[in-house]
Amino acid sequence: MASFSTNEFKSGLKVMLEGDPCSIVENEFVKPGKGQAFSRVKLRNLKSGRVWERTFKSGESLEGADVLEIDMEYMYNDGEYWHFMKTDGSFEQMGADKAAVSDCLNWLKEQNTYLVTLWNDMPIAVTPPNFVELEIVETDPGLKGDTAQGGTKPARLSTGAQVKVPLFINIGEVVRVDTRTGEYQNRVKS
Amino acid sequence: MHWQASTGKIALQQRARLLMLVRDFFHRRQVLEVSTPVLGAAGVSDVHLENLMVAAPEGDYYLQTSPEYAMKRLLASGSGPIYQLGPVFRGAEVGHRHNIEFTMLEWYRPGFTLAELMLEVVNLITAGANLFESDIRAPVWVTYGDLFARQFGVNPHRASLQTLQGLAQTHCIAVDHITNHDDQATINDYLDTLFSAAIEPGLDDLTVVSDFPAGQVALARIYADEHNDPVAERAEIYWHGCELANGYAELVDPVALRGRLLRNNQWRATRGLRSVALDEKLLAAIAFMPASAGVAMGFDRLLMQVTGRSHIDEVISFTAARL
Repeated sequence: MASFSTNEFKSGLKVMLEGDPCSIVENEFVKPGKGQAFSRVKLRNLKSGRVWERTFKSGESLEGADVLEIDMEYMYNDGEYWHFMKTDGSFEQMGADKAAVSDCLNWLKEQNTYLVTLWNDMPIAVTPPNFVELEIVETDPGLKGDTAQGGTKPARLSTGAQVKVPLFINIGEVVRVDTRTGEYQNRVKS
Repeated sequence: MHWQASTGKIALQQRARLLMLVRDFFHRRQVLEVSTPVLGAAGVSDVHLENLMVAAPEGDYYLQTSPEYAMKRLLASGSGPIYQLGPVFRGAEVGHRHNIEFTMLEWYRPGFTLAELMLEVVNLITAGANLFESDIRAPVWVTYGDLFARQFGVNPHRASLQTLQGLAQTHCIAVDHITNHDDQATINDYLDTLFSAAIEPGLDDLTVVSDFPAGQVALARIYADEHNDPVAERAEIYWHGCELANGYAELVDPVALRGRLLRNNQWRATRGLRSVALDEKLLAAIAFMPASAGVAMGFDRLLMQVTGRSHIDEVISFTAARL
């Protein structure tokens, strides 16, 4: 893999830092009046999702990371691995371990498409679409006609995720949820 | 292929108008415009400046990082107050406020105190802002020590390396780029990093910061401040969180100047950088230079600030990426 010097750092570039693949979020060149030039860089660790801030001497370099982000369809879980299939017509399948899917477990539904981050051809992270549609499997009975603003109640979705829904929602209905906030959006006509 | 300039016609016109304003500003004050060579036989010994070299059939030359040395030789020859607008070159500097070549506005005022000169700098910036009807308030005058103490609760003029390392840690300021050589220059690296991360971005109003740490004195004089700490008679101007100008009460003592240049070379040697031959013509001239205050301002940055632009390629027609 090629290596990249600080002057090639730009957002989206995938590099290796402390053994982990990272994506550069932001790179700022700093040169105080009479002082040493350096780059202040924010990097997102693609395995943990955490954002690191590091500084580098001008001209320092980092090894590139062999990272690919592709759309894949979720198929099933065999107890140990969550299996995804490429959507490019190759039908190629890959198993992602718990660490890779952990942030996405609440939103995993068969036949839905997810963004899978591959590092050296291994899935390391799974990102759900911004909105998913899931079925309600558990909630208190709905109050007919109560569509007014206000009250919410807890509900459990088919994936096990807990969301707050309006009082009129019933078991068996499908709702649209924002995966970034975990908030109910609307009821989906089925 | 990007053969076009990164600036539109409006930015070109604004540059021309601001150049005219600067020339008019100094003409009214009877400060003489001079043009010293872009080429120099000697380079700068500053640890953190990358001098570009030109291999000519006649020998090697340095592209000037600022016209400072040549202008000081003019002052020593009796030029009186002078200013210069022209290109300077600094390698390994590229960013939204940096380019390998930029336009420097540098001027010297024999007989001025640093405060008098900084007031003139403020007047020029204000005139530039007014030209483009850009909002500007009366400047804030503050010392480096007060700013630092307010932010970190520490006197920067007495802080040890360990104290500064602790501050970086407790304030989550990344310092991975600093190699500890256990010398004054390492302390400077920490001070610069802390200042640039936690203080500079907050200097939104036009701010004159004076009394820099003695270790960052460069070619300014040193004096004792009200707490009896030795500080540099150096001031910087910031606006919208961006450094615009750097001024000194100039050191005119040849022995002290030689000491400063030698110290730079010592710091360079510790860091594995090549030693820079001293500019003996500057050293010979400096004894004849009248007591003066001098300042260097990034003209492109001034243009950015007064026209509300955030990237230097909006004011320079062809930055390095488009050459």
